[in-house]
Amino acid sequence: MFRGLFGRYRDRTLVGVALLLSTLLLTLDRSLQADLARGLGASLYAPVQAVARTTQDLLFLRRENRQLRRVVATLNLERQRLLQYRDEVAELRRVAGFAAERFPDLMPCEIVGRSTDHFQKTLQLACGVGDSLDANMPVAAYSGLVGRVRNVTRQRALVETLASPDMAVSVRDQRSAVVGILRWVRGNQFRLDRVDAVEDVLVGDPLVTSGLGGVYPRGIPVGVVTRVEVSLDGLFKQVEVRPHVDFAGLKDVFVVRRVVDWEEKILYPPEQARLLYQLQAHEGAALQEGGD
Amino acid sequence: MSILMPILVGYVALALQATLVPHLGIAGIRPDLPLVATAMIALGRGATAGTTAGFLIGLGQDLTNPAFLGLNALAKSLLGHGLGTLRERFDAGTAATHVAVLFVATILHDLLYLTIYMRLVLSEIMLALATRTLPTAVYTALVGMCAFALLAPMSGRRSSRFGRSRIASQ
Repeated sequence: MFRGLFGRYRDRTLVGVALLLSTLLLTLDRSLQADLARGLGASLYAPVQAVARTTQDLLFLRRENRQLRRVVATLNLERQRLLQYRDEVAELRRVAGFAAERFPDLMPCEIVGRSTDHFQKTLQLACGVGDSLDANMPVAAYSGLVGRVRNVTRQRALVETLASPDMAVSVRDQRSAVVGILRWVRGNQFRLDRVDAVEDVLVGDPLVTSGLGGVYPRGIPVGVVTRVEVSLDGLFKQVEVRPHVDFAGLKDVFVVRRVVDWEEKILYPPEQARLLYQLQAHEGAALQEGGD
Repeated sequence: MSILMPILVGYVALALQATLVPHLGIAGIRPDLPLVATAMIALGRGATAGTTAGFLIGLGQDLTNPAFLGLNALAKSLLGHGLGTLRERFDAGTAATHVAVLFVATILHDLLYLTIYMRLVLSEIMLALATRTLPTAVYTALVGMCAFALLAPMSGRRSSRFGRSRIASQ
């Protein structure tokens, strides 16, 4: 029988075995799938990613560093103005009896792996439990929300991006304060669910996280409304959204480990605070250099 | 040597898909190099090699995305088996055939993939096929044609091991 299976019917036996193994893998528990993928994936892709990163570093790092110095210097000027407004707002909130504004504590993480097929969007970060990362922590980029950490090991974290069928984020229209649930539709297209037909949502409205639901802190930019229509039954609005983040072009992301008081000594550890003061001292020179 | 070449082709395809291909996207559409590698091996070496390569390459791709671990392995092993079986029935040695085969293969692969990924929601499957798969199939077919042309001389034959049909070799 075995001679027949692996001789004359070898091709069919093989495809049967492949289908059986694939189905078995598909039906595995999600955490087991993640463990398996992490273990095998690290061995398979680590050498390739190391070569790619080194090449990229050599080609772009110097230019990127020069541009970043300019951006940091400009942001620092903006920050000085913001701090004045922060103190005014804090005073007003105190008088009105509102809780003090809080700020996300960001952990920068390099992306060292991403899903290679053209439908799914997961990212692997070079940060893990050792960096105080935990499951369900929100992940953002410079332009806006990326997704959330799904699971973490000692040195790696797997991020599920917003472009996933299982993701749902509570967002708020920054103009009208209408709240809805953001879900991925396809490609780079999202929709806003649970928006009544009478609610005020317009094309061009910016959306930010609402802070409801407890996973994502309030105020992280998410996307912009691109189309609004009333559904056929006339009860709800069909709202299409384009995210700020280009998931394919991401290089670095920031994991929101917690929200803290908006105080400089809490936001910046001593080493970073020293760097900030150095940059402040040289901001004029950096601006001049970047503008050349 | 005969085993080394498919392993090398598969690994290089996965490596390029993870590193270079994200920079080659046009409006978010990217070629599927692991699929090209599976097709090359299946057309060059038959159903057994095609199925094995499809499963291993697909699994390699799934490792970057554990949410549906096994889905690419399933789709690509079936694709490898299908192409390996079909190679006996047509001349797979011309550029036009490579383009046609890769185009159809991408569509069939994605049809199976999306059926499971979209949990049988027909409207979503059709929409993804129209908006993602069709352009991806065109891009993959064109990139695949270049890959076939590049790798043909390496086999040292006029009709490449990656594009040789049994009819053509007779």
